[in-house]
Amino acid sequence: MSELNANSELSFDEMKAELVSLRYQVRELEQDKADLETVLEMTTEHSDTVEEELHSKAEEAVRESERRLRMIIEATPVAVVVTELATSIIVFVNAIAGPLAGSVPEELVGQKMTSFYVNPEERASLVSLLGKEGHVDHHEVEFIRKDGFKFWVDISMRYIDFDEKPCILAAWNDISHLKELNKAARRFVPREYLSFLQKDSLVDIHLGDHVTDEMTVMFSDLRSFTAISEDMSPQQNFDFVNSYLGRVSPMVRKNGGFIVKYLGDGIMAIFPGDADSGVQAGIDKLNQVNIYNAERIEQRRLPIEIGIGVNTGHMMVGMIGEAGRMQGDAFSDDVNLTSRVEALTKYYSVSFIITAATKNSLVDSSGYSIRFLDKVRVKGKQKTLTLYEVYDADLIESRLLKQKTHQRYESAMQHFYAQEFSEAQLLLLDVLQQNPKDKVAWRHLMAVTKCIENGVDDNWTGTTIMTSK
Amino acid sequence: MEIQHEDYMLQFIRENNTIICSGSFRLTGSEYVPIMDMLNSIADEKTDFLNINLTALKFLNSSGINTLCRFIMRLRKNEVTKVLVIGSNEFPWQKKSLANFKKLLPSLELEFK
Repeated sequence: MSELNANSELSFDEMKAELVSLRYQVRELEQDKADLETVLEMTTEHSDTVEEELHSKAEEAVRESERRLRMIIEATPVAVVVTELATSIIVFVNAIAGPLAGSVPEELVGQKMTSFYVNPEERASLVSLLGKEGHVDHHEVEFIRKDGFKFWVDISMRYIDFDEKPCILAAWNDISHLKELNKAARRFVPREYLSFLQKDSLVDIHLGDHVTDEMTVMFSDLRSFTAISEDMSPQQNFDFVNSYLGRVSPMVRKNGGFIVKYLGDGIMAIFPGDADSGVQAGIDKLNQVNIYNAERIEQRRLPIEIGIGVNTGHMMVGMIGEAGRMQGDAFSDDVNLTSRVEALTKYYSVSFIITAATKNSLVDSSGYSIRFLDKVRVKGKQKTLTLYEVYDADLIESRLLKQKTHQRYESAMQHFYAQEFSEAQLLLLDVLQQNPKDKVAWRHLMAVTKCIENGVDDNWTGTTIMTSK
Repeated sequence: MEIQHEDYMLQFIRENNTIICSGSFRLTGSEYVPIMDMLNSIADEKTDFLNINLTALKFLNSSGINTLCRFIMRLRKNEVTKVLVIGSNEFPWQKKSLANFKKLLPSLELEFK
């Protein structure tokens, strides 16, 4: 009220001055408004200009980066193929990929990448792996060209935007030659041996790499080699040994073992698993020899004979030699002993001897035809070895006769070690009456007879002492 | 008088009444306060003439152009009418945006190098 009163008290001149001031303020406000509008307009326009400029710069950068990418891809010494993610259609290939895929790059564009896979499902699984992991690195894949030529590649994949489309960039190297080399190298150091030494590649093998464990070792040898090879030329000799080894060696692998080394016509093999695999491999080898002999007899050639010794114990398996030339080997007392055991097959005229250590390690010894062979002390060793004969792979007649006389034979041997020589003699005579070709029984009969004739002293144990290796 | 930063620089060379604005200004509104303060104090010196050298100004965001507009308005208010803005042909945005300064200060002259 008081303010109203104050205003009402303004004179005409004052009101006029007030009006002028108000008009001036309105002009200023109008100027400010116009300025603000101009500033707003300028700011918006500036913003649009800069945005447009940045956008074209970004587009140019993308185009530049694609140009650079193409340049890099062209210059790279590996084959590069870009395919559309949705269709698997090739949209770009570099100069290296063309000849490898058996075509010029221009002809490859537009084709489906899937058709280059020997197994097209492999591409699907690689793409799904790429989806899961975001990258695929160094997968080995077999490719096929239009002319049917197949080759192996080492392939890696990445997602990439190419010509503004989601694509897959695949880079690959032809590794066919490398694979051939690896295959060749594996013939010298088998894959099983590598994995046994816990190595991924031959490159990782070093002198002194080894594994120490309880394992089963097998020695086998061609017994009649000298007689058979006498009239052969060197080439025939090689062909013969390789033909024999080619038949028996796979039996080692088949049973989970690996050949550590060849010793002329001999084989040294290791079975890291149970002892059964070693025994089964021995039986399989002898069965192969039986088949081979049947063929040889048909060709009027002399049959061959082999001896196999198997033992189970602690041993070291690894690489020996020098850095420039190395080979696999196994050693320990048990390994040396196995070589002696194998040599004893000749002495006892049997094909396959295992030690008590092996027999006792068998998961199921009743699954095999095994009979006691002898107690021996080999030259240079103090320990008495108990040996067994495995006769599963004897020819059928011999095997049946050994099975038939098995009980009597075993009980004869028990009487023998109990110094009940007459009982042993009677039982052995009975065995031999049924199976006169049983050379082991003959040998024991001679020993028993000698004991009856000469008597035995208090220290007698019945152990056969070997005086030569 | 000057403000220096890794990305930008604002300098006033009193000897020839020249403001040099260079680099890239990507600041937020409030970050322009010290810049605005410096420009206002230059405007308030009411010099006879003023050169604004923007030849090395690569980038200016919206808040930046807003700051410059207010500076031009301040010059107009202070009756500093002899103003020469020197831009660069190297940065295309300058051609469009700087021309608009004339709407705020018609006497302002523009030159591009």
